[in-house]
Amino acid sequence: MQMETVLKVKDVSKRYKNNRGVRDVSLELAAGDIFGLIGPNGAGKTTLLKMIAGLLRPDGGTVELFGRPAEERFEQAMSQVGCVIEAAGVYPNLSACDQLRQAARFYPNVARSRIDRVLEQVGLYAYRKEKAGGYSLGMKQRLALAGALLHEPKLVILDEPANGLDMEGMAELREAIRRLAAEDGVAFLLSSHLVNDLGTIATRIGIMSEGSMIRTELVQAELWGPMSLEHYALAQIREDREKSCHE
Amino acid sequence: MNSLYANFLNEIERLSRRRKTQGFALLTVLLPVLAAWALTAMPDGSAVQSALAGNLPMLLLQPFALALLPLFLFMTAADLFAGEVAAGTLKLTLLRPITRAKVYASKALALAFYAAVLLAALWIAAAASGVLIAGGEAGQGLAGSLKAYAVTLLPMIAAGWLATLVSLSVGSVGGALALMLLIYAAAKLLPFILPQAAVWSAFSYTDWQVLWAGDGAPAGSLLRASGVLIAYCIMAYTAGVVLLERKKC
Repeated sequence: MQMETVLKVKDVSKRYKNNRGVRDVSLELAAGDIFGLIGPNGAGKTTLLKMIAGLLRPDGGTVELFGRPAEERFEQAMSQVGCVIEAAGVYPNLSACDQLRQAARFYPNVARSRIDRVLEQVGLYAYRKEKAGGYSLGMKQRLALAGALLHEPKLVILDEPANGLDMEGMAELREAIRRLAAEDGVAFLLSSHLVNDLGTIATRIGIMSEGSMIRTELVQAELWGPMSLEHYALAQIREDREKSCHE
Repeated sequence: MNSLYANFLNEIERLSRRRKTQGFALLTVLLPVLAAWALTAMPDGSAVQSALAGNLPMLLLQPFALALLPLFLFMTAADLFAGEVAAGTLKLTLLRPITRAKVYASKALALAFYAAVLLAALWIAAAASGVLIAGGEAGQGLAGSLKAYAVTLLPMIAAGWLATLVSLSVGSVGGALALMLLIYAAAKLLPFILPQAAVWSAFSYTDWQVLWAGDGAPAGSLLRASGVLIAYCIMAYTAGVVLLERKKC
């Protein structure tokens, strides 16, 4: 069965003043895909995610969400996208419940019961009335995840989603991602430094190095054989760097 | 819900939950009460006391519009952008289904609404304190003072929106506030050196309610002053939208 394409990135580029950024990256995500972005610091993962989410304007290339250019009908497209990008900010004077109620105003049909449900899912229900200023890093991350999942989006973009989460939180997150992708057809675009962890949930991986996507592969154990995914990715990155040096 | 209205409601709710904002509101209400008590210390039934008590709203408007309200607005504007960028919360809004132009519009409108609420609170508290505490005559000059408070909103919006522009350009709350206070002080002092500055500086009109008092200034003067203030509002708003559109988050 042909799955609906939710995200199509074609040749996007972004160059910063220090010459870092992203060069001609393309990728495509269908409903139910879990795409893991891997790469060292400064490889361009967050920049790519920011361009997809509309936080950065690409210098070149196109981003299509649900079959339309992202900048065209931006609000309509973003109403089906949930994001957590970089460190999760919270409003310190508002409780988790208040912050999600504020977020819900942007979407039609997010009932109050949905807020309670999503808070239960991320394990914050017991703390829902406490001001978020007193939350730990992990609790703030859980609140950010709740905000991204609140409106039942079709595409979820998560940059380092495991930041601050304990083992239990990470296991619950993995389980939730698998379930949402398999049962509801939600597409996930994830970046994480926990490469092996990413390998256990992703259906595809993309390896980025120095702003370029050097490999996109279906996740299958035989791909990296006796090595871990982390070692496989590192070998690919080294090989790519050597090739660039020779050229 | 329309995304502009949704974010406007969110901004108002956040403003109302902040201790700083609550403190400013409390100060705005306490100021007339303290002023009325001070008036009661004057000889009972003196003509000066009864005149001042009956005109307490007008008596307080000038210092409030000259110093306190601009300060409150500058501090609030600094939190609206520089503060949110530093705390990483601006990104939370930008990742919702709302365009940047609407994010800016909702914040600018929230600041204008806040200025209106503070002016209304001062007027009500001053009118009530004048009558109930200082023994002024009820209803005396209320219509005139209401008009003065209403027209004071325009220069306050211009000042507030200029402050949001500074807040967007500077990376920290402290830096934005310091720069805005410096600009405000310089703009207030400039007409002493360069008299023409009193005409074209937006901050020269913080006491323009006197132009509207009584029969008012000639229509031409009012029109020119209104034009200058509206032009500042439009320029600050437009520049703010462009800056936010280009801002890397």
